[in-house]
Amino acid sequence: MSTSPLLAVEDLTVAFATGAGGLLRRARGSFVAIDGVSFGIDRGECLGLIGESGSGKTTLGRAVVQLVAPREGRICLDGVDLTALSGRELRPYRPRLQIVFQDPTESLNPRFTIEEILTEPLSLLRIGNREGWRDRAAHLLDQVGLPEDLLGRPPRYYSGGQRQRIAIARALATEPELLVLDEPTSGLDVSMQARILNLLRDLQSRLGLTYLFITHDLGAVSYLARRIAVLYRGFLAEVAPTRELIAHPAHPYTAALFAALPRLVRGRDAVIPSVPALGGSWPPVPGCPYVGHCPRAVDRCRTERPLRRLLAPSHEVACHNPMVGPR
Amino acid sequence: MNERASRRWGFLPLLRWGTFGRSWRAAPLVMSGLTLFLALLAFSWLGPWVYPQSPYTIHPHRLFLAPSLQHPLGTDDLGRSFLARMMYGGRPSLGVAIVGSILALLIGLGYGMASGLSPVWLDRVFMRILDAILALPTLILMIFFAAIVPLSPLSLILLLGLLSWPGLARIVRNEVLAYKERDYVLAARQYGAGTGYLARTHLLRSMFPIVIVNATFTVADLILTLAGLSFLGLGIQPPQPSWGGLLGNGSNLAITGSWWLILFPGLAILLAILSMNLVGQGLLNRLEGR
Repeated sequence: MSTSPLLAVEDLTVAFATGAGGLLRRARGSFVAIDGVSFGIDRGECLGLIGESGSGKTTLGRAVVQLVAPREGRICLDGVDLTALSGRELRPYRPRLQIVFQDPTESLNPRFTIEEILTEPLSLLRIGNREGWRDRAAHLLDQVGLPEDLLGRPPRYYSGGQRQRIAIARALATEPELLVLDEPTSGLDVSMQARILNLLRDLQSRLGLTYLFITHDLGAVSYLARRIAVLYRGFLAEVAPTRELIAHPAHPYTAALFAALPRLVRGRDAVIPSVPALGGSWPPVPGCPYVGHCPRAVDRCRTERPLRRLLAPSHEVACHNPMVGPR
Repeated sequence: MNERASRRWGFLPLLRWGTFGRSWRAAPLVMSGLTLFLALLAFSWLGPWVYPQSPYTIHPHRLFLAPSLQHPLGTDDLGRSFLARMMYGGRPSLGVAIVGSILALLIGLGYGMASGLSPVWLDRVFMRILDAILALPTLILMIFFAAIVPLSPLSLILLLGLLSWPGLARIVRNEVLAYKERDYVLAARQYGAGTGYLARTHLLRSMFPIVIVNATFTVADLILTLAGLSFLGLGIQPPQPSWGGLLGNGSNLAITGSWWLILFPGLAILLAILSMNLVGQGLLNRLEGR
């Protein structure tokens, strides 16, 4: 990890109360969505975050932009711990990190016009003056490759791809440094996915953006991200440069994830079934969260939680018995 | 401004003159209901200009006259022109219901928003209080208050408004719960939006159609309730006419065979309720895409 990453997430734990709490009753248990996750993203980098449904990817993204309050840990932007700030103190940092949600139908209010959608962040964060907002909105549309005459209508007039471009334009409204992309292409058809990915790559190089790219699409992530983090049940299993991870997956779960990809060319199929991710518990049980499904589990995996360790330069894995040894 | 507002509020373009014909075809129920209701309003407020007769002047020599050219809706037991009484009777009947509904709508919006946006435990407290209020039989409560409060259009507005908001409050609260976790609300929160802003813009705009539909039904309800109270002598007080009061008076005089004293107020009440229900049902159909 570099000495001063733009975003540093340290020992992040996010938990949700479960069971209906009554008027006088406390909620019964809690569900740990993110369990002691640490990673950093350098300025101008794109970190891919992959994992299956329910692994906590979305929660992690929302925690980074301060939409979900963590139970423990720190989220630092340029060395400032955002989780320690009050709502008012957070205000100057909000423009610097933005999020693009998965489904633009959900993330754009159907009763707003495109202009209202694009100027809302500016008015809420008191950026610029009212007269400049319309021009700014038009400029934002231009940046994502849409014509300016869209401004007057509500989102239902536009296709899924156009709406996602609008959502990206809105995220760019505050000139952010870090963009959390929460599965921005998974609701789109393949050709539109490619166009959105190209747009994101183009924007990154033009505006010097830093991305946290959350997806379950291994193709998309390897196109955009230089480094990939693998999340399993809220637990960070492995972090490695994209090529390294694909060539030498060290964590058995990473290997299982790659093996689950459908192949066009018949190759050496790994017979490691992937399993639905269920919740963790609080306080955490000892041992590796993957132990129940891991073909390489040893006794130690049941009693001791594996810590992340370096296998190769910038290739970290949290496993007692990784598939490749240290090099 | 007009165009912008209509775009924002979805189905309201049907109020624009240029789209009048199109609106009839797109929403015949809404338009017929609106036309009928506007006709009743015009009858009550503009009618006396066309037919300038006092509803209070007593003519002892022309009691119980049946409808004729000279007395279009006949005369009543004191020889007063029944058409004039019907016109002036419409003002409190419709006015109290409309203003009372607006009052109920405002209280319901405030209470429902507060409940839906509160933490879970406080929301539950709000809802239990609401259940308690809803459990009280409204008409009995009204009769109780009507008996102890001096009755005037203003006090009736307050009575009806203060007793008919719980249903709206519950709808508003449910709408808040349905919309407050949407991604677009989260996105706005991420830009530092406060609860007040979210309530005023995102939530209010999202729930606007369903709230308007239910406010329309509330107007119909209040017309009926007020007519019922007046019929029982607990609403608008004579000699000021109201449709419910006229109907009550007419039914007491049924033995004299003056059918017009029963038919016309009854018809007016029926048409007023029908018009509001047409508007409400029509809007509801459009909302549900039928």
